[in-house]
Amino acid sequence: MGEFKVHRVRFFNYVPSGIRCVAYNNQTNRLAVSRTDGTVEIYNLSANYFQEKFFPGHESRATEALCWANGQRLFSAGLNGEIIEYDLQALNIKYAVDAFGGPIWSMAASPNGSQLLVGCEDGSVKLFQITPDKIQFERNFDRQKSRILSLSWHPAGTHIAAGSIDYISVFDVKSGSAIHKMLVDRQYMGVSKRKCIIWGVAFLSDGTVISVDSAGKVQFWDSATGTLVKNHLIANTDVQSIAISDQEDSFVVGTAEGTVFHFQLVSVTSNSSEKQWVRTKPFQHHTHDVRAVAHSPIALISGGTDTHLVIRPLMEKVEVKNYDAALRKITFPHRRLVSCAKKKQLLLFQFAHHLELWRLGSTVATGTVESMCLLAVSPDGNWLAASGTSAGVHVYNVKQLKLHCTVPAYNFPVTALAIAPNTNNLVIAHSDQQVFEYSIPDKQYTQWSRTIQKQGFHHLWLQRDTPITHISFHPKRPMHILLHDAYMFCIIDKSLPLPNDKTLLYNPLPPTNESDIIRRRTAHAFKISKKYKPLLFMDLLDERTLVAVERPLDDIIAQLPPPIKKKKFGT
Amino acid sequence: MVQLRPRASRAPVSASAMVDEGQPASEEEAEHGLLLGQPSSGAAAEPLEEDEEGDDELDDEAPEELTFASAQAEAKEEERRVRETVRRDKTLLKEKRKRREELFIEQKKRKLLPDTILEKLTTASQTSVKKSPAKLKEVNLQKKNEECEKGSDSKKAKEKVQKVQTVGQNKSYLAVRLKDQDLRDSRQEAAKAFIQNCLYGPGTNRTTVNKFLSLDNKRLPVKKAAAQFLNNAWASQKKQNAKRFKRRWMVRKMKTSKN
Repeated sequence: MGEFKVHRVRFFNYVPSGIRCVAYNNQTNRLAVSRTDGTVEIYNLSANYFQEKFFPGHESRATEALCWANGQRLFSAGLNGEIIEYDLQALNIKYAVDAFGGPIWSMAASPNGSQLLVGCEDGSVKLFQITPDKIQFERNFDRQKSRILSLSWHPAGTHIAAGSIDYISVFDVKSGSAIHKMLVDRQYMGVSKRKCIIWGVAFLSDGTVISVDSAGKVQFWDSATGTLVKNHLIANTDVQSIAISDQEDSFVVGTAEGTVFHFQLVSVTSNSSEKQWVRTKPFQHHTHDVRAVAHSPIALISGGTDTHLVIRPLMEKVEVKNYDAALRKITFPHRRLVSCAKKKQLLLFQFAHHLELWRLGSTVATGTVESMCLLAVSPDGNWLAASGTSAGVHVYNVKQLKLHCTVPAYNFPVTALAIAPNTNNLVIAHSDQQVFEYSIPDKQYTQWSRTIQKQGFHHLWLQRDTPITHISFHPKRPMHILLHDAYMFCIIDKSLPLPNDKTLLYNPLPPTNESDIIRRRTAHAFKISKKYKPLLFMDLLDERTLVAVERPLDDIIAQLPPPIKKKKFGT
Repeated sequence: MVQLRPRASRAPVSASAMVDEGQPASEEEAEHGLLLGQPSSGAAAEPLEEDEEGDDELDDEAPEELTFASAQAEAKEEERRVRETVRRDKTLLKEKRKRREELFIEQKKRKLLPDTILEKLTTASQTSVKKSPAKLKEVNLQKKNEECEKGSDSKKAKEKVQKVQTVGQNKSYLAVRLKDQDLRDSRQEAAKAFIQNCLYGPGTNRTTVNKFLSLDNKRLPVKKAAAQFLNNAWASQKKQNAKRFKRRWMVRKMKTSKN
C-alpha cells in the first residue's frame, strides 16, 4: 500500500441549510424534505435512506409547506404566494400558480387526493382542485382575521381545522363556513403578552382536533362542540410541529428546544377498552428547533434548524430487529461536492450559488454557477458513464458519440461511479453498500466482481450508514481502488484475499508490529482507515499524496442560528 | 339712555379709566365684569385683577343695568364677524386648493408622454403587423427627440406605462407595473418579519451558539474553556486603521531613507 503524504483540508466552509418541512409518502416510502434555502430533497427510505432526487433551491422559492397528493405528485408553497408542483421524472419544476392571497403559510392535500387547501397571510383558506396536469382554483372559505398558519383535513374530507393566532377555526368543507372558533389561552393558566401562535393542528376521525402552540401546550379539542377536552403542557418553549400516524394511535410533536415527544393512545387499565393519550417517549436528538416531523408506519422522522434529518425507528413497530432498527442521522450530503484536478493540484468546491476554486498550498479564486449529476469519464477520454433516475448505468463511446452498453439494472440507486485509468473498468457503488466492477471493453462484470458478489461483503461493511461518495484509482497500481464515505476511507487491494464474516474488517494495527505469518493470514483486501472524519472528499493527487477534505461538525454548528437557552444547574 | 359699552378688548384696560368715570364708570365696569365673567382668552384675565381693585371702592353702588337690546345687538355683531371670518377662510382655502389642483395637473401632463406619441402607440397596436415596425421606428425617433428635450421625463413615463400590448413582431418585452411588484414584496417582507419576530424576537428565550455548546464544558469535573473561546472579530476597525497606518509609515520611511 505504501505511505502517503496527506493534504488535510478543513477550509471548505460548507454549511447546510436548516430543514423547514418534511413530508412522508406512504405509498412509495419516500420522504420529501425542504430546506430554508428552497432546496427540496427526496430520500428513498427503503434504499438505505439514500437521497435520490435533489431540486436546487432559490431564496425566492423558500417553502413554508410541502405535501404529497395522490402519492405521486409533490406540491410546495411559500412566502412568495405561489404553489409549485415538482416534476419528479424530469427533476425540475412543472409550474407555479399564484394563489393571490399573499404569502402562503400552510398547505394540506385532501385524503382522497383530489383537492388542495392553502392557508394564506390575509386569513383566507383557498380550495384548489387537482386536475391531472395542473391545479385549478375552486373557491374561498370564510375569511378569518389573522393569518392561517396550519391546516388539517378530517380523514373523511368533510371538515377542516385551521390554526391561526390565538384561535383555531373548524370549517365545513361543503359550505365553506366556519362552524367553530376555539380560543386558545396565551399561556397555561396564566396571562402573557405574547400572542399564542398555533403552529400545528391535526384532525382525527373521531372529531378530536389536536393543536400545538407557541406556549408549549398540546391541546385536545372536541370539534363537535368546540370545547377543550385535555391540555398537556410539555415545554417552556414553542411546540412547532405535529404528525399523526395513519392508524391514529400515535403522534409525534417537536419542540423548539430540540426535543421530540411521542404520544400514544393506551388503554387506561390493562383490561378496559377506554383509551387515553399518554406522552410516552422523549427524544433529544437535535440541538435547535425541530420545525418538521413526520410519522411513517415504523419510524418517527424529525428535522429542524440544526440541519440533521433524524429517523428513529420505533422498536415496537419494527418487525426484524437488526441494524436497520437503529437511529439514522443524516447530516452530510449524499452527493460529492468537491472535485479535484490532479495535475494542477486544484480543488473545486460546490456551494449553493457559487463555486470556489482553490489551489492546494496557496489561496483563492472564485467562479460561476452550475448544477450537478452523476457522471464519470474515463481518463483516456474514450468512455463516458452516466447514471440517472432510470435504472442501469449507461456507458457511451465519446469518440463515436453513441451508446456502448448498459450495466444491468440494480434495485438500489447508484451513489458513486468511476472508470479506472488503464483497464477501463467501471466501478459502481450503490446505496446498499454493494460495489460492482464492470469491464467496459468486455461488456461484462469482471472476475473479481463476480467473486466478491458470490462471497458477499463483510457484514460490518454492509452496516455502514453513509453512502460511498467517491471512488478513485492509483495510476501505477491497477489493483487498488480507493473509496470513501463520510466516516472512513478504504483501499481495496484486488490481489489480496477477500475477508469473510469472521475476519476483522477494520485493521487498526500497522502491519510492521506483527510477525510475517500472522500478517499473511489476516491480510485481506479491504484496508480501512478511520483517521480522517468526517470526510467530505478524499482523492489521490499523485503517487505519494492524498488530499482529504474534512468538515468537523462543530464548525457547522458554530454557524447555525441561535438555539433556545437551557438553564443547567451550576452554570 | 343706554350707553354702549366698549367691546372687551384683548389689551388690558387701565384701572384708572374705570375709576375716573364714576357712576357711568361703574356701569361700564359691571358690564365689563359681566363680559369678563364669561370664559375668555387669558389676555382678558388681567383686567379682571384690576377690576377687583376698582370693585372695593365702588361695591356699594348698584350693579349696572344691561338692557336686552344692547346684549342682542352685541351678540349679532359677534355672529356677523364670526361668519365673515369663516367665509374669508373658506374662500382662501378654496383658492389654495384650486391652485394646487392646477399644479398637479400640470405636473402630471409633463410626466406622461405627449399626446402625439400616445396616439401613435394606440394606432400602432391596431394596425397590421407589417406596418407597425415602421411606425415604431417613427415613434422611437420622436421619442429620442423628446428625450433630448425632456431628459428624465420619458424614463418616468416608461415606468408608469400600464400593461401595454406588445407592439411589433418581436414580443421580446412586456411592460409591467412596478407598483404591483412592490406590494407583493412588501407583504413578503412583512411575513418574514413576523416569523423572525415569533421565533427570534423579544420574549423568546434564545442564547448564542457558543454559550449553548459551552454548557457541557462548564459542568465537567475539570472545567474547560468555552467552545469558541477566541473572538477574532474584536476591534476590527482598530486593526484596519493600524494596518493602514503601518502601510503609510512604511512608505514614508522608504521616502526618507531614499533621500
